[in-house]
Amino acid sequence: MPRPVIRRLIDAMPTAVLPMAAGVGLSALVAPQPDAAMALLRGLVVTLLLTLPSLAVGTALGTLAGSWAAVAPRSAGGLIGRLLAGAGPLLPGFLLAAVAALAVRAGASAAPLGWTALSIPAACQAARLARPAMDRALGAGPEGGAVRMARGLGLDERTVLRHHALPQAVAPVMGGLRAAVLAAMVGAVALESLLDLPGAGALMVDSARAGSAAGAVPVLVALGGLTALLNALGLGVRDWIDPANHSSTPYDGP
Amino acid sequence: MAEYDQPPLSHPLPPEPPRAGFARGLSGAAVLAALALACAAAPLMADGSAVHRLDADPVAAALLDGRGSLSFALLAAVLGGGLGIGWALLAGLLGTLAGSRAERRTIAAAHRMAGWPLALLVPLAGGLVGPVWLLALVTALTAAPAVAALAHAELSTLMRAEFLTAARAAGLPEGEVLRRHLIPNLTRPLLAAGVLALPRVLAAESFASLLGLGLPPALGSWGASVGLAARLGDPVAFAPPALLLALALWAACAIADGVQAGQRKS
Amino acid sequence: MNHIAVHAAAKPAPVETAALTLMLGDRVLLDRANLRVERGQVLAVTGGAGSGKTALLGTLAGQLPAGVDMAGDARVDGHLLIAQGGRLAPRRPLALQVAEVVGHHLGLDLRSSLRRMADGLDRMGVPAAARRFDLPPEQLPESLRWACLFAMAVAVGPAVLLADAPAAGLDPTVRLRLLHRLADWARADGVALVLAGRPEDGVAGVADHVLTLRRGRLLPPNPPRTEPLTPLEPPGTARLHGRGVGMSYPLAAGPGGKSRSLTVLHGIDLDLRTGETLALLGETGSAKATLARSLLCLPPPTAGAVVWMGRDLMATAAPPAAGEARGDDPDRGGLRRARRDLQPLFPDPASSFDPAMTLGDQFGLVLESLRPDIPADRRDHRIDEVLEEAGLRPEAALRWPSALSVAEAAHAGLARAILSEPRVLIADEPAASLSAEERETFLDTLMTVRDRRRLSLVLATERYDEGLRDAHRGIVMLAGRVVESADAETLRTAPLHPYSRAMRAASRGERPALEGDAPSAFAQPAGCPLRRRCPLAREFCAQAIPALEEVAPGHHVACHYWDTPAEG
Repeated sequence: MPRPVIRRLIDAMPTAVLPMAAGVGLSALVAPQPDAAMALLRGLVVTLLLTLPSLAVGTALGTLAGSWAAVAPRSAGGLIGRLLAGAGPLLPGFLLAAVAALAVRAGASAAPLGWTALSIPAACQAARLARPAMDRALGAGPEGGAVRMARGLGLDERTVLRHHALPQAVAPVMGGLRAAVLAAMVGAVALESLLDLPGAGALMVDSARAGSAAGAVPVLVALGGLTALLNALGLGVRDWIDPANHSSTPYDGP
Repeated sequence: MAEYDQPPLSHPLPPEPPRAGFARGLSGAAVLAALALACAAAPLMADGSAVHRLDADPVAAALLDGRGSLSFALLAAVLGGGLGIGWALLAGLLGTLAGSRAERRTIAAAHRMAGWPLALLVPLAGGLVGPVWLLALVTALTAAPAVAALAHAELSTLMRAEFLTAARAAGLPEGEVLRRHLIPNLTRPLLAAGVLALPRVLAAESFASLLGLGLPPALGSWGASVGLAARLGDPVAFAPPALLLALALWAACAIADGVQAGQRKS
Repeated sequence: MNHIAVHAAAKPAPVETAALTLMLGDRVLLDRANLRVERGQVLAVTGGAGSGKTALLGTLAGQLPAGVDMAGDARVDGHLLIAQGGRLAPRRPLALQVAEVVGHHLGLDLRSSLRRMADGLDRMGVPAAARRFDLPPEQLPESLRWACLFAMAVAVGPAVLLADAPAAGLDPTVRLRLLHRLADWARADGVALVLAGRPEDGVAGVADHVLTLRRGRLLPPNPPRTEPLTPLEPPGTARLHGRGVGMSYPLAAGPGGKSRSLTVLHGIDLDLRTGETLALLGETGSAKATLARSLLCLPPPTAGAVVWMGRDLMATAAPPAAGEARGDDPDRGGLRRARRDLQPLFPDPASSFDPAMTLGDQFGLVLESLRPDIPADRRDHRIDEVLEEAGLRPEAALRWPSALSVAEAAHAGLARAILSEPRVLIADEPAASLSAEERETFLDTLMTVRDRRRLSLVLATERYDEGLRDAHRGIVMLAGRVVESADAETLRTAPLHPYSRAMRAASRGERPALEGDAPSAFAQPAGCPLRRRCPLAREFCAQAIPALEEVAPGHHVACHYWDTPAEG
């Protein structure tokens, strides 16, 4: 694992691991069911497996499609990017989860559908942020200075796009990862509950339905910890992609 | 003596900036208004049999549901926006009274909370607490930190503005500076930040209702209908509320974006 | 230069245009220009903002800007363009980017590219200790970033180097040093160098030929005004006194919870007489702006006293003690009376107007506050008068600040400042946002207003000659201290402090005799703040901060060795 990611993970220990441990411990102490702690641990793993891959794939694809939409708006990739960027708020994760549930009831298989349902909002969010940033990086404004300079220095167009324009499109996406993580968590809870997956979100919803605060609150705390973990991973990836973040800037808190 | 008969040559008129954000905000507002009107008029379509929601035509039923969703979202958005703006103002007040440290802490709390999955609180509250007003309060709380963070950023930008120094150089006492300059310039950015709450509370409520833990069934909600139809595997009942919900969410986001864009331009 | 021309006669010039015409929509940016730059020749193209310099350089580099149409011929041999702003990919380590460019042009690997780059940095005079290649450009100081860009160009060694607004935004002494080194390289290596910039940026000083882009034509430049607009009248008695004015800002507590502070202004003494114009000269970090604001008590200085007509302003500007609640007194301690007499001009006039009110409303508010003696129905008349005096039309009162051009905003700022009929104007870089003719027009208007109203004027600026041109007296500031003060004529003709000499040289486009960059406010060297850059520096300079001593009547210098020639 790259070093910046590890560093961010270590930094996030108190905010990520402590709540998860507290949630598991609490549920062992107060939850009505005897094996609640183990179920919660299993559930956290399921939720992580649901959210992490879809977030990673969705964000990466969305960023590329969004940037491409600014480079070549009429190409196929550009059209997809424009579509994703425009459709962002239309497609919240929980609504897609409901669509996936409907499809599963009609006989589709659950896992790929679930991952797709969670990755689409992440892709939309990434495309929505990447496209205008790329537009600015290639445009006539002050943000376009780096690209104009690179062209003036005679670099070929491929290098200019790859090294001078794309990083400027990736930066806001990395800044918006926190919102994407939140959306993915909400979507994952809805998905688990609708598809009856054994995730932590489903545990929480079941306990809340039963009106049992002792069952639901520990799960909520643990899910908060999981969110912090995903956020830390996101920050780590940002540092790893973007050398400016780990050269000499001091640590500025989580 | 300089006379500006024509604009000086060295300052060509800048090309009209694209007003995409404004157009989107306007269309969002139009869509939301149309939705609200249609929902208000829905009982007329259902030829007086509004009570039997399940028997009714799915479109009419979805429109009936919209009344619950939209009115609850409006209530929670007003609450959430107000809470967030109040939070930011409180931070600013603390900054002038107790020093910048207190201000930083107050707003750092908002930043931290905005990174927490607050939307999960809504279904929890729906399952554990009864009354609708409490649910509205919890929903409002999920949006407030984000509003507070944005409103505080606007506030601190304004507090550093040069024209406030110019006003002090004109001998205006602090009270007058506040009344004549600060408040007129603050209203718009703060309201713009408050609008941010609308899409968030609409999404949070729909999410909770989707899980069956949101608004009570008597009120009706798009989320609840979508969730029910998904569980029953009924695409005909699924499509209308899902589409209306997506449309309403898009409209709310467009309004928030448009207000933000207009705010930044001016 | 002659021998170059002889050589060049054999080959065609590297830059040649024939009837080059550039159109932006229906506006002519450049009208049938014939341009020819030989090897080893340095050409400067100056012009105000938006006059088409960037479009011209972009066209020469083969990158026609969007929306610009071109007619005629332009032939440029193997060129390199340093674009406006000098931005590189902000977040990639500089070494990688340099290697990429040098390697792309010369086919070298990373190590040889960096070696060539190091040679280039030598020619730019960057000391080895300052070379931090592993940092991305956005974390380098501006001056080092520009030096690296120039060094990159040196490493590549093109036939033609086009530089758009090179080193703009740097302090004049640093900028001119870099530009002179770049021009030296171009002359030595036979590179055709084309520099574009605003006339006050000093690109003209380093060039062999200067052309001004005005209304689509490339013309020889107008020499700037060097004499005062009208002969200066002798000043009267001193009215405004600063005694030991100092400013420090609290910092976060240091190790052991010790409270720390950063002192940016060190006990300045200053007197301003009636009708006198005082130029505060200094570059970034000299605290001239802090001094200007301290004189206005916006905010009040943390040490010393500011006295206006015998009244201590700091005592009146301080909030009233809890015991004596006099909040309802409209003119507590006479502060408002002093505000009426002392008015500021802001460096960014556009942002000094409330965007939510028309100019007229804001002016009315000023009158209401500072001139309650003018009846409400006379205010509009008064506003019209000052607008016309400041070179605007009375209708401007109805306009919103966002609808004003930069120049109009500057004139409107002047109008607001004279609204209350003040006796002193304290101007902090009032023309910083303006260039070329607009700048001259504004400064002329300011001086006309000053003469008509017999105002005292404090003019803080980083442009040495321009500031002293209309001044009676000048104060040269460095790192929050006065290093030289004398009457304007002495400072213009025979300044003694090495920093004053460097600023004077830079403002005339000559080579300033200072090396390196100004140290940051957080890392000032012990002793004289200039000693690491100074040609006169000796060991003793590190031990004591030189005190201001009188070397001739009315002429003070703070330098240990002002009267000794440079060693070596």
